[in-house]
Amino acid sequence: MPLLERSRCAAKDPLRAESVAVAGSLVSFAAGIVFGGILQRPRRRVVRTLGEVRGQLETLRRSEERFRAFLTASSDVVYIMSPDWSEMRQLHGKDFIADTQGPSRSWLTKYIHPDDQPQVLVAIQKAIRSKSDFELEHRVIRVNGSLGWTHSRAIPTLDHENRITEWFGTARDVTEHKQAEASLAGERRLYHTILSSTPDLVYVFGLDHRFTYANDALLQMWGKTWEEAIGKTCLELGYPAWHAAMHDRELEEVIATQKPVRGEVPFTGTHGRRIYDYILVPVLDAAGAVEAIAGTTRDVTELRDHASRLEATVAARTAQLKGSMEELERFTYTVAHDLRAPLRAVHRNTEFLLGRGGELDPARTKEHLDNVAAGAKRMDRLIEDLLSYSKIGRDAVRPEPVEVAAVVQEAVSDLAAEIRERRATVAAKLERRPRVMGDAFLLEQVMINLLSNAIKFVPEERRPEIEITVDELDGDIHLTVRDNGIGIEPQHRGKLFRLFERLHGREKYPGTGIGLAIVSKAVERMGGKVGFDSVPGQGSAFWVQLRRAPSP
Amino acid sequence: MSAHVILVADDDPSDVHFLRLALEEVSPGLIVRDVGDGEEAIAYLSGGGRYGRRDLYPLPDHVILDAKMPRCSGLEVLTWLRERDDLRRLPVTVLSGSLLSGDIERANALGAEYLVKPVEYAELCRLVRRFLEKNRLHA
Repeated sequence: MPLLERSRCAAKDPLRAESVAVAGSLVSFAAGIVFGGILQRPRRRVVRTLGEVRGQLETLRRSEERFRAFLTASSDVVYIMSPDWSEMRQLHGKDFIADTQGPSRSWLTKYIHPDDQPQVLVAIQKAIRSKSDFELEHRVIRVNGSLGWTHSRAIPTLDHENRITEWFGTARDVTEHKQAEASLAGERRLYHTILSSTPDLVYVFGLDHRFTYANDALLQMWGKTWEEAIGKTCLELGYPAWHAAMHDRELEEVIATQKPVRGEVPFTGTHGRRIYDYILVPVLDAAGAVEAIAGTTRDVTELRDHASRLEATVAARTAQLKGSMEELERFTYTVAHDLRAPLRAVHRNTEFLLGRGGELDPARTKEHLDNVAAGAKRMDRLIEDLLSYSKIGRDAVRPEPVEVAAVVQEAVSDLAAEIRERRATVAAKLERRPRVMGDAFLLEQVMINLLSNAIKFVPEERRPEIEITVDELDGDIHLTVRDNGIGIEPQHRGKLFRLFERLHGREKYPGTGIGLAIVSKAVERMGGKVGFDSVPGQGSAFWVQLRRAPSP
Repeated sequence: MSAHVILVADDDPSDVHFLRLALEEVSPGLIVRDVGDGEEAIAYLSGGGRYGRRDLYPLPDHVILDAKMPRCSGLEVLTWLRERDDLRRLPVTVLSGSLLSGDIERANALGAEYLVKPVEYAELCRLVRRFLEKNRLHA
């Protein structure tokens, strides 16, 4: 927008003596040649009455007074220049720039900033050539020597032959205006830099819900240019109807309450579907009324994703921890329960003997003492098995190739006494000498427990027949220990591998209830699987599946 | 009035032995029957197989269940009992070698008292006396 609107009455045409006689006289007056115009002019009518002359003089005098008053009242600098501007005839500086009382040829260097002198001269030449207004904004040297800005305009006066007789000009002090303009432009540049560098979306709505501003980030997210987007509503910009309606409601709320509104919403733009956190704030005018609504929006997708991932992780960990705690409580409970049983037996039998020992016959006494010994032995066995179980769960496992046949042989020789006692047969079909990835100690624990169970859980009248076979299954080794024992009823399947879980009374099938828990834990540590198939009354087949070791 | 019958279900022979001893010592007229696991207890109570002979295996006035037994735990037997129309009112006490908070609540919710087996015999006798008095089982 131009700084100063050209006034309509400031005609582009130069002043003409005949058409504006009074004005022409005033100009002459201002130039200090008050009668010049009058004395030069009346060539055609030489004879005039004294009364006419008096009347004209009176008119001139009144005009002169009005003009003087006008000059004094005006805050603008007034100057008069020679036709070719080589000479300044007069200048009233009005405390803005220094006065020039008489003709001066050094006005250019006296008043104009050196850098602006060329363009001043160019503008003067142009005005002289076209005999039209001179108008320019340029820097001047002020009364106090500092630089200021002026808006200067001069119009030529022409004689009857259309020659310029002089220039009459005014110059306005626009220094403050220029400074304000410069600081405003600086601020604009600053805000523009900030707004176009932030990854946040920044925008302004008019009261009609149309965008009046959108920063680069927002235009980019929309995939639109400034021209395409500004002046549009959300709906016109392709927002889903519900989304646009929601913002319409919020904008009305901000206008009505003059309070910010904040929300979170998904939106699909050029960056795909993202979650946005936004805040709309009222922009108030000087009178305190809402004149616009400004908004900022932040992409919080990662934050929300992160938060929900974190929540899921926490929930999973909590569940895991809860599971561990429950497992630990159950473990402590079962350990205490099972360890206390033999302890009670030892204690009560001893107590009984101490209290009534004297009344008992030797056979009864021996019975009680046997119970004490059995209780102590059982407790020792329990502790031993618990330590094995704990060791298996604790020691680091580094899987390495293990020769199955060697481990089986080791386990069988460990159980030689039991095998002999029950006259059991153990047939191992391991001709292909399979190797698995595992741990020799752990695998031996597995085999000892499986073989020992296979021998133990066979009815007394039956001779245990055990078969060990190996199959390959999808690159895994499937090791099976099959027996002809009592089998397992389907309703007990789930309990079998739990710690201290027993399916039979101790008297019939002795044991601590730790064996299969050890098998399960050891296989788990080797990264394998364990399971069984069984026909109650006919036998069971326990299998262990481990990764096959690469060929040596 | 005929003698009270108590059924004890416990897999530990030593525990059964001393519990029977304590019950008979405190209340000599009591009839005590015992089974070694939960499945056996259910068989006894439902009168299956040999337990059909109620002259030998009379229905008990009270059942004492060990919490942890092979095949079927005391709480599983208790749950089974509470679902049976004919047996749901049968008084039950759960005796355990140790305390497991969840189990106490479950037993109480099913209307059974949950007690921990004392190590000392004298203490067992005191517990049995309180138990008999509370449940009016003195002969």
